[in-house]
Amino acid sequence: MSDPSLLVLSSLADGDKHGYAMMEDIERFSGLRLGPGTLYGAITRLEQRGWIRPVSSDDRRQPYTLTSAGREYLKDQLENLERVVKAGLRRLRHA
Amino acid sequence: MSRLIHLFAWLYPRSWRARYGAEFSALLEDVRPDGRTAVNVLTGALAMQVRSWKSWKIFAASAVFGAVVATGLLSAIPNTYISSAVVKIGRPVSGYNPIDVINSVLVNEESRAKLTGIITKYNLYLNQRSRRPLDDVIDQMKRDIRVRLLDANITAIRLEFSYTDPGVAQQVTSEITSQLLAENLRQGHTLLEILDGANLPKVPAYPNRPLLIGVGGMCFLLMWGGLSAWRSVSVRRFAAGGPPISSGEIPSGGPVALSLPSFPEHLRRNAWKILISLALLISVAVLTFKVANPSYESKAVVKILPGANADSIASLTQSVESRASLAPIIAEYNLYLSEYHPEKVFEKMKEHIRIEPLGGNSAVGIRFTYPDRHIAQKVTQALALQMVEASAASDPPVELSVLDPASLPENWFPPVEPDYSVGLLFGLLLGVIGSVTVALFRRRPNLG
Repeated sequence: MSDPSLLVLSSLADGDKHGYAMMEDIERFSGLRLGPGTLYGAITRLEQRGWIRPVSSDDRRQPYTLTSAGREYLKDQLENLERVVKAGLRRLRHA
Repeated sequence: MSRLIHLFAWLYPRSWRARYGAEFSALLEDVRPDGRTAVNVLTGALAMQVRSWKSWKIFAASAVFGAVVATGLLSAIPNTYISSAVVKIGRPVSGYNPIDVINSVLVNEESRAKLTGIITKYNLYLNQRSRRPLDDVIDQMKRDIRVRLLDANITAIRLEFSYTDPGVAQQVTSEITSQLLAENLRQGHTLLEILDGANLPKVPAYPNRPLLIGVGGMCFLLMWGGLSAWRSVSVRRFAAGGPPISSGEIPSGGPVALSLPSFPEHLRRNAWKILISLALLISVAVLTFKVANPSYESKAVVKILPGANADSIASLTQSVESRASLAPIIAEYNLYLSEYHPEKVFEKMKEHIRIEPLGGNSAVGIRFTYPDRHIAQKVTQALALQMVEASAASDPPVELSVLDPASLPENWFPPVEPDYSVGLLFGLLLGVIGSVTVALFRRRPNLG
């Protein structure tokens, strides 16, 4: 799973985060370190699709939160992935 | 590095910076400022730019890129000039082989001393001499010297030397020719004479300018097509699965309620743009074809010594234009390869040859026109040689000498064609005008 959009959505699934916190979190749970350009490319796309939105903050670091549409999309995607992972592992065991 | 990264951040589109600039800048202050981050920010900025560009911007940027590539190649490859000389060999006698003479000057072991002397005398290959052994430099010089037999009976040879300085190319060609004659005398032969002295080349033979301009044009087309396709795919993927967005702008925030057209609809909406782009491509292609395939005229003047009359000149002209005379030249230089019918090849060649008396009957001008200027020169030399040969065989013999050797043509024929660069700029200008026109046409419906 290396799609930056999915990584960002997964990172926001457990709470609001700003850009740098997302980078750190994603590196922690996936081992991938997104560059600033890649991260903000994904944030731009996700916000335009209405899957994330900025939350008010006094800091220059802008936190983002998942919208309900984004949460729904992430759930669908992860369930699909889970099916693929389970099927792959099952076939490996019987091979 | 941090400053460079912030500089790259300024390459994002203005509308994007207005929305995300402050928070992106805050993120850049937190991350480690290394080369990887810089590259990531730069590629992110370029991708965002291209995604937000309108078609004319992609066209203009591709055109500039193509022009830069062509200009860079043209300025990076040094001009190479070829000077040539023609040496006539008399009627062969037993035991005489001109190839032996050529070998001793240019090929055999003893030639190395002669070539070393020429390299030192004219300070040739200074760069190579500072980096490579002299033997390698001599081998390089041998590759730059070309000797061609002008016909199967070895009645004449042409010496060519290519170098980056036209004056030096001429001097070295002249020097090699002299050494050839001196070696010929040393071996006891007196059968060589210089028919066409080493010329001063005025126009570089390399690099191949139309080819490099074509490479620039290909870069332009590839970048234009590649970026347009990438943007189209990127915008479609961008919109897949969620609220669709427009390709032309980055909105200030929130989803945009515009519909993304299907492919046929996309074609229909962009019919104007496609038609104008095709027209531009065709006009640039025609212009390039015209520019890259000019005809060049080479001319030589053969002096006729007293005693000749109009009839004898007409007879010589007929002899030169006869099939027996033209056939070996056509075969030697692979002329008119696109013409399949032999009759038409002869007809075409005769159309391109002009032999006319000059100054009463004291000289004859020989002109030949061909798309390749080097071949035009060589064929003119061969025609002049044929005339000299025909004069010796005629009854009564007419004495001829070459007064003005075949020139390497400088100008296109007809010499009213624009320069390559003018053609390229004309094409680019057409492209910019067309793109702006398309942009204006496309904007109108949106205003309604």
